[in-house]
Amino acid sequence: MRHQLFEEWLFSKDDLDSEQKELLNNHTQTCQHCQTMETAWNELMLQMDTKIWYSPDEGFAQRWQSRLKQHQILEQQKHAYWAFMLTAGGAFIFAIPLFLSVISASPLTEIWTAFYRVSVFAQYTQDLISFLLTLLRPLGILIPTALGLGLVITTWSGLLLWLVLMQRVHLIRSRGHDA
Amino acid sequence: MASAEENNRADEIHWLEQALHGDADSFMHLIELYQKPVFNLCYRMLGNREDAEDAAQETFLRAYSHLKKYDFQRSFATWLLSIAAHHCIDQLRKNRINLVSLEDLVSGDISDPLPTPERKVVQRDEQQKVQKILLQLSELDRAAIIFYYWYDMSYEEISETLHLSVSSVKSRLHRARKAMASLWREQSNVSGSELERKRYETPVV
Repeated sequence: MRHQLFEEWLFSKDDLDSEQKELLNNHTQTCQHCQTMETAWNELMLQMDTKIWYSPDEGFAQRWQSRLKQHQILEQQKHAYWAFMLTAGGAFIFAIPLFLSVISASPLTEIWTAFYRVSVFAQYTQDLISFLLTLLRPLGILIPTALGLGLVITTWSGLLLWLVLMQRVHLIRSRGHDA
Repeated sequence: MASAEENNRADEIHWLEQALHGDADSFMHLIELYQKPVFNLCYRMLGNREDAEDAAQETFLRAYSHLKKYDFQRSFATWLLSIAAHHCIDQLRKNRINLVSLEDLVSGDISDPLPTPERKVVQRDEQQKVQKILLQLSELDRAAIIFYYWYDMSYEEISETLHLSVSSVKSRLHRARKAMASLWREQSNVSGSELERKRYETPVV
C-alpha cells in the first residue's frame, strides 16, 4: 500500500476500523516519516488533552450590563437619526423643484415666471382641493361621524406620541453626553 | 425524580423566557453560566485577552438582541458558541489578527493544576506553543479543532455550529491535524536546535 494513504490514516484514527489500525501500526513501525509525525501528533494531543481553559476577568457580567445600556442608547440615537434624516430628506426632495424654479438665468423674467407659476400652482391647488372635496363628501356621508372623529383623534394622538418620543430620545441623548 | 441536568435546563429555559420579555437581569444568570466557555473559545480563536473579552461581550449582546431567533429545542450553549465562533471568524477575516504578542500568551490566566513552579512554566510554554499553532490555522479549521478537542463536540454538532457539512468538518479536521503535527514538529526542532546552540555557545566575557 502507498505511504500517502497511511499518512492520511494517521490523522483520521477515530474513523478507522481495527484492521486499518493494525495496517497503520505495521507501517508506522517501518516508516521514519510517519513515526515522526505520529510522535509529534501524540505530543500535541497530550497538551490539548490537558484542556486548559481561559477565563475572563472578574465582573464580566457587570461589564456586559453597562455595555448593553450603551448599546441601547446608541440604538435609540440611531432611530432618532434615521427619523430625522427621512423627514429632512423628504423636505429636501420637495424643496428641489421649488428651488430650481427660483434659481435660474435672468432675474426679472424669472421673477415674472415664478409669479406666473405660483399663480398657476395656486390654480392647480384650488382645483385639486375641490377635486378632493368632491371625493371626500360622499366619504363623509358613508363614514359615520363617530368613526371620523375617532380617526382624527387617532391621527393627532399618533403625532403627539411621536413628538413625545422624539423629546425623550433627545433627553436620553443629552444624558448620555453628560455621562 | 428529575436529574440535576434537567433542573439546570429548566432554570435555563426559565431565564431565557424572562430574558425574552426584556428582563436583562435573567440574562445575567446565563452570562454567569456561559462566560467561561464563550471567553475560552474567543481566546483560542483570537489569541489575546483584549480581543477575546470584546468578542465574548459582543456574543452575549448579539444573543440577547436575537433571542427571538433561538430555537428552544436546541442547546443554548451550542447556539451561543455558534454566535461566538462566527463573530470571531468575521473579526479574523476583517482584521486578520493572526499575529499574537508573546506577552499576552504568557499573561494568560491558566488554571494550572500542576504543583511546582517549574512544571507550571514548562506547561505554560507548551500551551503557548499550542496556541501559536492554532493561530496559524485558517479560521474555520481552527474553530473545528477547538470544538472537537476543547468542547468535545461530535462531527454533527460542529457541522451544525459552523454551518458546514459533516464531510467538510471531517476534511477540515484532518487537514488541521496534519498541519498542526507538522508545525509542532517544526517548533520542537527549532527549540531543540536552540537548546543545542545555547549549550555550545561561547560564554560572554
